[in-house]
Amino acid sequence: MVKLALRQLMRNIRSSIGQFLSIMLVVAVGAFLFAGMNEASGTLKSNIEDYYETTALADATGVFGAAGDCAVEKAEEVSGSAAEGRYVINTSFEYKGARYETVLLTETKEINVPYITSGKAPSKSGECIVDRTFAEANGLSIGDTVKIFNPQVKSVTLQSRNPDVSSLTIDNYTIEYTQYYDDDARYVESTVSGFFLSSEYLYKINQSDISAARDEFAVIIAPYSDIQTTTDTVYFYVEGMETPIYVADMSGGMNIYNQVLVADTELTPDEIFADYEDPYIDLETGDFAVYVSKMSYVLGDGTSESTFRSAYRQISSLVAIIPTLFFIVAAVITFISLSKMVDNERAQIAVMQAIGRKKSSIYFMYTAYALIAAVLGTALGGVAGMFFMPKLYHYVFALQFVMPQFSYALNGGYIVISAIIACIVAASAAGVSIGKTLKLNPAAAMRPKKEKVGHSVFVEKIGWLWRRLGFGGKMIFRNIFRNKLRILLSSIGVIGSVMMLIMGVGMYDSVNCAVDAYASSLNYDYLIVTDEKLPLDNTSIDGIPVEVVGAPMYSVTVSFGDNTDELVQLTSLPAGCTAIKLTDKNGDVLSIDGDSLILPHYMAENLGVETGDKIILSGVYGQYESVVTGIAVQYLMPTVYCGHNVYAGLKAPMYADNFYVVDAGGMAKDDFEISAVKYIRSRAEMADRALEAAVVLNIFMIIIVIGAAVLALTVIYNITAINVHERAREIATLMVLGYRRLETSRMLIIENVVTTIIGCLIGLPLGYGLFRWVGTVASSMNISLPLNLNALVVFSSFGLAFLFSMAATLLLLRKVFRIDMVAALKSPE
Amino acid sequence: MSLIEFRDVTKIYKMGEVDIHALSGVNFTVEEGEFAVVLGASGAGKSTILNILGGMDRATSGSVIVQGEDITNYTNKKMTMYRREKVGFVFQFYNLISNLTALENVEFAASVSPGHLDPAETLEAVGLKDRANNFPSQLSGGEQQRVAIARAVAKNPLLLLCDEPTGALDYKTGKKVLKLLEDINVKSGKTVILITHNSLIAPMADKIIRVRSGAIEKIETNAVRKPVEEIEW
Repeated sequence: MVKLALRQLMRNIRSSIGQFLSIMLVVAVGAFLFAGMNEASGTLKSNIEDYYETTALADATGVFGAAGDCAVEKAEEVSGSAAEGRYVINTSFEYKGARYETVLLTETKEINVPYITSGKAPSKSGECIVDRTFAEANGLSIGDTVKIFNPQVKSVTLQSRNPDVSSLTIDNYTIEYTQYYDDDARYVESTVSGFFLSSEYLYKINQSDISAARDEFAVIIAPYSDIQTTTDTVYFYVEGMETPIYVADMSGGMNIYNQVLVADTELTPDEIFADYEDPYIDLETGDFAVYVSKMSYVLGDGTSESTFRSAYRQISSLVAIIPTLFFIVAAVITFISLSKMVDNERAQIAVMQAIGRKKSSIYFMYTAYALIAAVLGTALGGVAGMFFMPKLYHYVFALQFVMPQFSYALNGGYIVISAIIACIVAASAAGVSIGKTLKLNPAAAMRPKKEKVGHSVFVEKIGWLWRRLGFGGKMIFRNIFRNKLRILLSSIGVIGSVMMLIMGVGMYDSVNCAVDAYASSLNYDYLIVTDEKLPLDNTSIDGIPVEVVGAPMYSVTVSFGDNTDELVQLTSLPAGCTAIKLTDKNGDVLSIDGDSLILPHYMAENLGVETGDKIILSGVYGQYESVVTGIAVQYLMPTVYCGHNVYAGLKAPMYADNFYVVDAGGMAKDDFEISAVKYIRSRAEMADRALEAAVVLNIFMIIIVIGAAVLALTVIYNITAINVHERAREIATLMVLGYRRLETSRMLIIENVVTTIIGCLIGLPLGYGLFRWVGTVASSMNISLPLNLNALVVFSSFGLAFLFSMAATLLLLRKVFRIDMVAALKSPE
Repeated sequence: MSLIEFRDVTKIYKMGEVDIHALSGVNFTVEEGEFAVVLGASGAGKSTILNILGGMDRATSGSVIVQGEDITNYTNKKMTMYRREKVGFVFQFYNLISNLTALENVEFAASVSPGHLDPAETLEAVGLKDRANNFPSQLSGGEQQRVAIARAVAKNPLLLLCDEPTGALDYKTGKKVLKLLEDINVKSGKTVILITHNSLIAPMADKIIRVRSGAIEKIETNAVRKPVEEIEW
């Protein structure tokens, strides 16, 4: 009995192999995405977390203007955890005559440990390790020598309203640096002892030059002794007093740090360094700490981690939606295929009931068809997904992030879950499709199925339209309205496809719009950054007309009422600036003067700020209340722009080292002969860097479009194949009457067009909703995507949906042309 | 010259490794305006003859000359035109388009044929004027067959080929249908070829072609045709 049932099942599969494979394919793609994406997400996340743990990434990082050992001791005392101090500085180095930017870190032994990929950590003074990305890109080898330039702290000036020398409470401070260059430059010659990756620089971005590609600047770690940042004697002043309040002898090895790393704590830096709310100095020992709350952060809030988390979240948001669409479509195809099969074998089912077979065994026979397709599809797709997707994830994320090669221990849990979902879906669809037939008594089931009674449709009431329709049109309209359920089910595949296309194409367009908008705001030929700090009123440098970006960018928080937005970059622009073109939502250009304050649009929306409102800016050096003079549309790298007066109000250092050359007159980068240049960035290079922010998202959107193609092709092919089979008799009749090939297939083509149109119309609002949801999740601190669909996106999506639909239809026309008239017309109705 | 001439026609079907000889060297002629009946038991090959003559199937060898042209050499395109313009086919199980009304079914077929008859008049001629707007599912078997006949006749074809047109009908209805075919043949001079296993119908024909095991057993002519009303079975 079992053998017979199995034989019958195999014959059923063979005779409807097209439908069987369609179900399998859709389930396979759903399982591929579900198991693959979940596995890949989980693997990537756990590998990154292991990477953080292996490298002992700090849970909390206190940022200081400068601090001695007391800050490290305080951290250990309050947190009960290990802490280390280090010095971090953006500087430059020379290698083989070329000068490069670097982030220079003093070595730490237990926290934020580098992941050595070759060679070894520095074992003595005069050695350093360089990040692998830079080394590979620039041909650096172990044993090579680099010359690292390093400014020195010469004196520390502390500002105070009312200094009490014996027990100091100081509101403000400045640290005065003296920097040396060229012959007077303080530099260290260091031998490269190894290469490393840094989990801290997972998203390797040069904060002082965000336009620099990750292989254009280096992260270098060297012993503290090589990066001593002070002269032998450091003078501590209180502003207004001529004599120092303390003279520190640094030659004895007193350390100065600007970061304190705390290993394992749930406390925030503000909680750990609460005693340093005001700058602190011990006049007996000279130990001091000038804590900068606003720049301190916990793990997860740093640029690297938050950027990674954003990218990860963008992709993870798709994990739930996309596989679900495929499983729904699998259910539809299963239902329609099995309904057709049951209809064809109706009499046979009746005979089985008549001879005494139980309903459950008959049900199981047909359900087994669906279950086998589901299991095979899941096995195929799930295993492929689990092998392929983690590698794809790694490859894609590695385009944006610097990561070691991870290991993938595959776990079959997601395949099992996929299989369970697929089987439930398939079995349910099968149950619904055969339930109706099983409800009939055997005698009724043995009789041929009653043909649907023909009736006119509402379109016939529109006389002038109906009269103009040819027979094909009349047949099509009546077919559609008599088989509404089948048309709707056929549309589901197209709906799913259109949803994915709207989302994918929409996101791609949004990202590119954002990049274009950013690029068009850059109204200059070159950005020049120099080593020298020059007055703000500079209008030329070395004879070249320039517009000055007064003062370096730094981070501020913006507050309005009870609302405080997150940290954002602040840039000061000269009055009448033309280098940066800021526009409001109406497209009007916003002008700049000394009192200008322009917010990015997303920030204004979050805070509820409008032009004319007063907001509070809080920066490293102070706070300032100012009136918002404009709100600029900024999608990428949102920045608060202000005039020099506002910048002065923030007590920021009033010097310039960034210049825009608005019109270079055709000069190339290398043509500039400006002294003390750190780097020069062209407008094109800045725009290219912006594109990198979208790399991960764009690649996944391409995968989405491919998935949409699979959905549409599979469903249309499957449903049309069933259609052709069921209407073989009708098609053969047309052929006998003398209708040509295209005339006989025109009906099918037009019905598929109608199905596609219905799918597009329903898919559009659903796709828009999906697009907005994914776009909102995909936004991060560096990207705020425009979420409006333009007509081109909609028509492109519709166009692609039609393309897939027609491709499937054309594939099936061969079947139509091959219909054997004699065989099709032989059997009784 | 005869309107139709079968010359040594064979038809072999390949079913896996087995060859089935459906027709073996069939020879016969039919004159214009004749009412011919192809008679034979089930599986004798009579449907195969009709299918080849109707352009729905192709002979394996031999020639089928219709109006002086050998249709066995026709390309697919030319065969479609042949079916379009020369042939009206009536099936045992009607094969009407379920989504078209009776009149629309006739119009649908007529529209492809140049020189077609008026569909409404043709439908009236088969006695179904009052049922013009009904769908096939709303018609009886006999009515459906009459619509099928009207559909075939409205094309104004050269040949009217009928494959067991009464096979699915009761006696009374079947007689009505045969009467209709007889009238078409007599009044309009259309050449009608009808296949059946019922030998009692033979007297209504001009020519009886008896088929057995894929070959022509006998060809007879009736000097005088018996009207359908006088035929009983």
